[in-house]
Amino acid sequence: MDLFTNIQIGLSNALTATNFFYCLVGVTLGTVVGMIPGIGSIAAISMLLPITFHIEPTAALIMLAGIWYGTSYGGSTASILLNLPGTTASAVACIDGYPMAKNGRAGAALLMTTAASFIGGSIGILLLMLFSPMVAEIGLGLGSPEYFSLMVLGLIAATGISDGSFLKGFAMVMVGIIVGGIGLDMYTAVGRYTFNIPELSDGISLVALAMGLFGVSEIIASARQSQMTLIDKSNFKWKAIFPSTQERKESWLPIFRGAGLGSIMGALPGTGSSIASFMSYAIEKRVAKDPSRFGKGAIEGVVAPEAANNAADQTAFIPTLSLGIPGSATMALMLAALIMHGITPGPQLMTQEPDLFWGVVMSFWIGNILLVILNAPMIGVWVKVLLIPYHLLYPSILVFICIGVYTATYNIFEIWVVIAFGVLGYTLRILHFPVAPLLLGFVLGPLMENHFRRSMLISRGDLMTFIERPISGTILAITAFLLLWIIFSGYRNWRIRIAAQW
Amino acid sequence: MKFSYSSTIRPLLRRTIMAVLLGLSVTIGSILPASAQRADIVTLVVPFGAGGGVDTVMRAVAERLSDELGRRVLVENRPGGSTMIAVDYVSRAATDGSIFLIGTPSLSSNFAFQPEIGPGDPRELLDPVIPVATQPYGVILGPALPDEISSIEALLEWAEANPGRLDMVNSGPLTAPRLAAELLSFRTGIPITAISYPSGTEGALDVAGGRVHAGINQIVEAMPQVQAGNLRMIAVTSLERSPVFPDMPTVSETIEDFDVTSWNGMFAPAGTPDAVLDEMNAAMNAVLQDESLHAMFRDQGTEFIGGTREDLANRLNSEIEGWQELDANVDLDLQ
Repeated sequence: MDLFTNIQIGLSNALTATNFFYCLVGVTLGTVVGMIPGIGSIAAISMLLPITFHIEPTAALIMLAGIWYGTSYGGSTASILLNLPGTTASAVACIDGYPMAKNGRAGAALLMTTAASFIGGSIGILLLMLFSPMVAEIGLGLGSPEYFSLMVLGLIAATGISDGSFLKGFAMVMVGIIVGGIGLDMYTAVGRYTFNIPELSDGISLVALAMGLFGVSEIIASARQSQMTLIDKSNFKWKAIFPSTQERKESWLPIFRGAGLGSIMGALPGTGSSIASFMSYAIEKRVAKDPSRFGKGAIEGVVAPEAANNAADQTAFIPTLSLGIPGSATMALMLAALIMHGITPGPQLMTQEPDLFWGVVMSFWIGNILLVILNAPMIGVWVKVLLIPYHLLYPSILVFICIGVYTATYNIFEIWVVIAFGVLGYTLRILHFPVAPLLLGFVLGPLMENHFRRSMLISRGDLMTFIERPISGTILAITAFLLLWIIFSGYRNWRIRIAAQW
Repeated sequence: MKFSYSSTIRPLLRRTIMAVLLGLSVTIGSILPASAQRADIVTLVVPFGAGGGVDTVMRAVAERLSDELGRRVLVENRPGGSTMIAVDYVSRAATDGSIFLIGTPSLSSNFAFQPEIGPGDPRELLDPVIPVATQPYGVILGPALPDEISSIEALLEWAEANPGRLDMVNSGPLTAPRLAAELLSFRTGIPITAISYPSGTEGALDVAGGRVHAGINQIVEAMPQVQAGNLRMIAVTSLERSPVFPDMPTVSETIEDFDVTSWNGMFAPAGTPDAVLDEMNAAMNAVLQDESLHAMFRDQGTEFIGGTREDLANRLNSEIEGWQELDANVDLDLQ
């Protein structure tokens, strides 16, 4: 069967009134829950899961998938406007999106992220359509040594993610790795930093950590400001919302770079959109002519990660549907919905259930178009959120964060975790330590450890396994070149600075 | 295509709004503390997040149980602490028959291997109600082993000829598949390196990719790769052959009395009155006869069993004693 037959099958299935309707419900809900800090797609999908048992599997998956990628559109809104990440992947959008909002460019940032999300999503779907069968093969060929090498590359590439002192950034990555180490050891079930508290045996939840570090610390910081900055009403006119020619020009390449990177990261089981958005931010900062603009409202730092996480959201369906490996808890719920209907995702899905597979894939196009239609006209409304007085806005956000974090496990303990990381985030802010590298270390650290130890178990402790295996070796060689380049360009800049001082 | 607002969209819309409202009320209902819930709601606490294998099975059971009892039956997810958080939560809950735990093999392995962590002896904390379902694990082999190996005997012969080489994947350090590999090693004297993964699916993928020789996996996790021809399943780990896979030999046909089975059982907080336990046992036994339920999960090797309260008590007890014996004889590298 060639691609065009598949597209035809898919479209005819996705465009039935029922499936179109569920797609609309999914993306609308996704946008809304994505926007509310703390409540992510997981809460929405677990709520709707019982309903999906009673509708057709294709419609069920279309709706759940719509929620999943819809949250990525909405997720950056709160990041940009309030420095509160709606989802973990959109935490990166805080770094430059929030300064843009402070500079009165909130509207432009939101419009460009919608565009970036759409382009990223589209590229992701295209790749999903073209390469799904092949990626399933590649996925089978990647083992722990490959993943470990890939994460070393990611960590090295991301060293420059934050501003200011390299040492402070490095320290924060280490803190992140330590926090990530909390919980039961993956191989021996020994508790680490758990103090025999059962809640800690699963480790710290990513959502609670991100909400605390970014969201709650921001709220504490602004509560301390005795005088609120007056907002210039002219920022809400259409002219101010529309991105300037320069902003548009600066965005194109980063969007495509982000989408490319995101597509690759999304397709690998176990990496996902959070890592994709962090890495693409780091890359933009590295290739930028003037990296000092980052963190102060650089449009590239907003659009590239957005494109990356939307592309990753789409290609994440490749491992989920073709290998049966969910990249996240949300994906696991979608798998459950299929299994309830007697469909076990795996390498055979595409050939055994072409109607379902291609129907769902083609519904992504419809969903993404619907999301643009939903999001773009609403930007004028969203930016007005900034007009709500802080003493009303922030308490209600805190409530949402608490509900969101609590409903993930129904455990009060999670709220204490949020508070603890809120205080930590605020302290770090006072001391001018960047928090983004902490999040990166937290996500990558445990993954690296697991893959490293598993590689060692399988190779019986032989480190050569990382170099001998061709894919792993190639990735490490690229990493070595990147490291040399970072050192060289650092040395050059240092020489220039020294020369300038003379 | 004919398209009419009133006939197509409106009923759909209404149904979906109703469903969303229902979903919301379910969620809010489960947020409320147990004491605030009306007694005509029964809560089944699943110790895993929504969407897992046990959760999926129990949601299907809950729906039928609701019809049987004429009361609302909710599934509440209390994941974490390798099921200990849910055990702790239910063991302290009201004993009026409004809340039940869905127990898994972790009940016995947690207590047998790490008695100092967690809420304590499940035999004292909980009252068994009924065994719900069992599921054998499958022994899977991948391309890292020669194709002609297709039985447990052949696998053991290969392992003897290649001492210290055999790797087997499992789904976590204290899970039944890990312990099954240790038991296999203990009973045969052949060293096996157990390699843990966050989920059995990822482990199965490494076996299918030829990086690890073999594995003990939930059948549903391995099935897609078996169907695709990347994995072969050579045996099931239950004592008797599974009625779902009658042609598949058991490990116990080679190694006498070898029995490691995944199971789900319903438990009430200790001290629940006998009348309540008996009533639930009868209702569940009726529900588990439902043919549509069997059909839904048959492909995954799930067998709904039912039985008496004593059946579940015996299962839990013999499993705890079995693991305690293994723990006394083998250094599992657990602290």
